[in-house]
Amino acid sequence: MLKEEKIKMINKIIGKKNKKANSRFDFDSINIFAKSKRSQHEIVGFILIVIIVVVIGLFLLVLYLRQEPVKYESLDVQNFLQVSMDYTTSCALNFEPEYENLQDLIKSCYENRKCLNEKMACQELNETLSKMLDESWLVSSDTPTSAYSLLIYYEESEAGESALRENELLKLEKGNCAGSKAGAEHLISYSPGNIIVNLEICYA
Amino acid sequence: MKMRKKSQLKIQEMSFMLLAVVLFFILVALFFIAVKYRGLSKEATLIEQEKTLSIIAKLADTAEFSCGKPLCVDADKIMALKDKQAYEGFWQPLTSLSVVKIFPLENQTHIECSLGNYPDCSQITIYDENVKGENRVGSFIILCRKNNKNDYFYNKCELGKIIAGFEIKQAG
Repeated sequence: MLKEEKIKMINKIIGKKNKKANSRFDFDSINIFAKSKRSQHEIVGFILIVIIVVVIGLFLLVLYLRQEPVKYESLDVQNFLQVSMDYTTSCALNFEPEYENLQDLIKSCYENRKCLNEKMACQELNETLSKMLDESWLVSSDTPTSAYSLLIYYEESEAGESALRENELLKLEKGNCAGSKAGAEHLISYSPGNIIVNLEICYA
Repeated sequence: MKMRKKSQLKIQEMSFMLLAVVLFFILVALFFIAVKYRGLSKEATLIEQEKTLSIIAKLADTAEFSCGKPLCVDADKIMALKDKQAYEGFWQPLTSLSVVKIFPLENQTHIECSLGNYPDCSQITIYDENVKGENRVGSFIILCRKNNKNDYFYNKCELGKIIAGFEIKQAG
């Protein structure tokens, strides 16, 4: 198709007679292409804004989802640690029924002592605490608790300084943590350092 | 004439735009109100829960419950307190109050304590108003009692929970 015929066709479509019928294609006189270009610019601008907003939204969403489980001090966990230290175990060191409480059993475990029932203090501690945690913090998909982690260790440090010596006594874990964490620490004075009982509970 | 039509179109366009903006803001406001309202009801329950927890902690340290240490409850004292008529108005605003043994728990079942089966039981109900749909809050305690072995009396302490019930505040 010839160039002139093309121009005639466009003019016919837009309802404008090509009075001059010359070979020059005048964009300004027709004005449709200028308008179309402006609309295109507006659409591109709008799409750009939408894309920027979506990208920022996605970035914030990813940032929010990637956050580490929130860890906070829990009064319930603190109470559990505090009261469990007074629990009467089945380990007696001198005579029965002078049974050790859990706090003394932890100290006896650190001293590697043996109970009168022929069990080592650490073995008794492990058995008692595993059962106690299982009964107190039911870990399953039906309960709010999804996991727990207990760590007992001895730490020797001077004021304001990092730990000089650390010695792990017991570590108990159950379940997989995915939600928020609540934890507490209990200190048992054992000169020249401290025995630290750390419990973390994970809520689904 | 053509100009007027164009202006009318522009005014129409703007009015539609304004309408859309107003509708959008109304929707956003409704969304925020809904979120806030939901949070408010949750907050009220949480406050009530915290209040009950502090009541529990105070109760565990009263002379009627305490074994002498913080968060330590004397099981023998509680057995004497069970169903005591003189304490009827004492437990307000709680709707129920019980002490449950958690560990060690034989047969994994809770058996209500009576003078006949004590201490081979796991639950002591001190007070219960039988309120339907009450919210229950529990706090860990150590449950101690005197035990006898080889003609020697010693303190046997077990892990327990003191559970208090309270009425849920309905928002609105």
